[in-house]
Amino acid sequence: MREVTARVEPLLSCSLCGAIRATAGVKGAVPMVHGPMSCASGHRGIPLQGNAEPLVPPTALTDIDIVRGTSKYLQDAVRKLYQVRSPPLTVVILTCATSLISEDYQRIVRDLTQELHSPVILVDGSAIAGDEIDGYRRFVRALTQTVVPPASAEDAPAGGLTLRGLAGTDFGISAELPILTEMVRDSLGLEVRGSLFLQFDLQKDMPLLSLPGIPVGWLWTEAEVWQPAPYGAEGTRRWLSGIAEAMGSQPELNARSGWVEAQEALSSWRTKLQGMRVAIEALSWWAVGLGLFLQKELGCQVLLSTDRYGLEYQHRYGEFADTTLVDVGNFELLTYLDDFQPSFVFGSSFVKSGPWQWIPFHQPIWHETTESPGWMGPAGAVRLATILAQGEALYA
Amino acid sequence: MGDVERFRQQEQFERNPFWADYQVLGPMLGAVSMLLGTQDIMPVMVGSRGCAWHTRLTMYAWGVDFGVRRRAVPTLDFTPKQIVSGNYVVGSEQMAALRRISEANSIHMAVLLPGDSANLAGDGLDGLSAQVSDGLGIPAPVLRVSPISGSNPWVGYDQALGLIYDEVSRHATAPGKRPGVNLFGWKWPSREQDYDVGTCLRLLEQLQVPVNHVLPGGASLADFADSLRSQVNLLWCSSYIGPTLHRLEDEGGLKLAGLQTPYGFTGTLQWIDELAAALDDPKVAERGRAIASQHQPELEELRNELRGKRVFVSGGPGRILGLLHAMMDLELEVVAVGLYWIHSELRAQFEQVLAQLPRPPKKLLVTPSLYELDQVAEELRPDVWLGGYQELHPCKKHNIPFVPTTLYIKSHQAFEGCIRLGNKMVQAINGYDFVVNPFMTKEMTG
Repeated sequence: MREVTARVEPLLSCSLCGAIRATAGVKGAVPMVHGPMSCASGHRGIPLQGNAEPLVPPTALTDIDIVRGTSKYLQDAVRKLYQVRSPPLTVVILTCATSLISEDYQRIVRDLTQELHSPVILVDGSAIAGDEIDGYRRFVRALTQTVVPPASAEDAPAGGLTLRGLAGTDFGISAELPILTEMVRDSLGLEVRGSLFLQFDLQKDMPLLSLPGIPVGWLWTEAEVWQPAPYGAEGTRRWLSGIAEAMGSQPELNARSGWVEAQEALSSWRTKLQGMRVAIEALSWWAVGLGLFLQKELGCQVLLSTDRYGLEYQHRYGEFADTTLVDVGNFELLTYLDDFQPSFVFGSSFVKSGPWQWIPFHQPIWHETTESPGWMGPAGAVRLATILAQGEALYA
Repeated sequence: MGDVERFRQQEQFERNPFWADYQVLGPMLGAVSMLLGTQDIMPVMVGSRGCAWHTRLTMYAWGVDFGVRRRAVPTLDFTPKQIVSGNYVVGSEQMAALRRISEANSIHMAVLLPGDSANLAGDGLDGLSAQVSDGLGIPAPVLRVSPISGSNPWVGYDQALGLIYDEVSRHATAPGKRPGVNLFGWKWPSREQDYDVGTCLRLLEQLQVPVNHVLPGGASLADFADSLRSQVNLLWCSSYIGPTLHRLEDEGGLKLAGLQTPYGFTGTLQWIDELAAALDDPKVAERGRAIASQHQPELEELRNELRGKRVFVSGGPGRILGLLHAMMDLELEVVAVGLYWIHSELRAQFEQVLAQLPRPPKKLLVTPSLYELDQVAEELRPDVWLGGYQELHPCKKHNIPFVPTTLYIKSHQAFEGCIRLGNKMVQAINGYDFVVNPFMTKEMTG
């Protein structure tokens, strides 16, 4: 496998972006970017990706403010935000400048929480703090360590689990989540009571946090055994088996789950698709899941451009990609695609234009597209294989 | 938020602690947008992946493709320790990656833009500049514009431009002036006929004014060098005015024209008059009037439909001057004005244009927040609203006909653009929805 880890055009933005994505998954929560206006305005489209209001206000600091001290601006901003919007949660996100000067922000947000009787949490969103994945995880830590009351067994709904690590801004999540939920119910007899953090209501959904949580999406590598997204028949079986093991049960991949029919259909498509080159630009849970399906079940050659966990997964569990690019995006990614010459590219709008068929798969998607039908699970796999085999151009 | 009189009296504006805005741009995007539209200059972020990511998203995602796709916005990563100690050493693999995309894009100059961390750490980045220059075989100067440099794009536009001209002035240029103008401020390679640039170029052709260069969009370093020989820098949008353009006028003899942006009939005629004065050619102004008179019947027809309708209009400091003139030409009543990104050099001009309105607007908002726009929408309920992406939201909420003025395909500039804008307002008032989704507008049919 060819591995590319040195790059100059990143796939992922900074930690701030991940924190904004996570914030958009909590109903009514508002991010407050404590830093210059650019950091906020440049990411204002992120909540839109999850059909949330593109409200990313900044404290709009400039160089003089940084030198003179920024605490008062932060305090005034959060107070006025609360006065205008009364958000159930305010997420103060630091930027490179404010992270570097290290004022006592924790004390400020603690004092504001007490003053306003409304939670204010702090996340380091600087590039120094990492990429989007790091930002999402910092948000989860800040929320669960600061806001969540001690778990109460009486409050937890019985017999269920949560999927931890999704975001409302994940492309196609409104189609994929019902598929995941149905698969878990039909094959494992378990109810997915909620997904974190999608439409999380701080008033009503706190008890969900005490249920067993299956790491997926942005948190998938927190599991003891990493299970990528359930694409394909074998991919579905593997994912469900992982949940079953974690929950102490056995998966039942019977006729109702569509698994048997899918296996038969996919093996007939494999002959046609053997050797087809397909590229995937996505976060690792999705990219690895889809890549494994394409390579192992359909015999395709796969190029991945994904986050660092996509390469680490292959080092741990076995290589399957022809080429793995770590954190490569935009024009630099296009140069690798030009070399690889894929027939299909699953990815963002950045990779739409080229001598390949494009399938929207990863944000940002700004071109007009039809709603994703959902590619996960056995039925999704058959849909996908059919499209690949027919060489169907979905978007000119 | 207040009235015109209060605006006149206020020299500085209070800081709004909770500034809820959907659309304001910053100095780094200002600089990147100037550089990215050129043919052969590549911005390179230093220690700032987020800045690279979000500037390219804003450049590519908001609106139609103006020709900047397949252009790179790279970043060089450094650890916190490297930044704080000023130890900016690019690894060989990263330099190879940078060289690869530089060659693929035929780049002749890389411009290093330090992120806030690098800027605050204070190192001059001279060593990095030399290393990148050696590694790529091209100049790699440093442009100290980062997010904390300001709250709006102006300093970014001006400083990027200044750096480009500093670079080209290091090399000998052909002597002597040549007739013609540079059309200044269009930031994209596209010359599509329907866009603002196509409209302006068409108008200048009708005025028989040669256009030597469109800057910076689509221009190469060699074009910038050659542009110094033109007679006039004609502003496509006056927002780009700043020390660099003044310096070119004072030291380089490149006269400046076009402080009034070419919207509406009056605004476009003023733009042409400024150009005629800079060229010292009254025939240019005469031709402008002749062209305007050709569109007069259409203007009259639109006036009959729009006369007295109440409008909210907003824009940046260049666009707002033009749109206010267009509203006066179409005889609408301007009930509220939103000014984004106040520009100190254009303030006097703005006040002059406001004074020309038959009646002063009831509300004047400077860099408004969403809730202030909401308040205006509810109180004043204009018949039609001309605004940017942000204002779409209060309009949808309060069911006010909306015409986007920052995301559009067919130009609103010059005489033909004024007619088009008027038609769009009529269509919006009659129920046409100009917005497909927040990233895409729908042009009028028919």
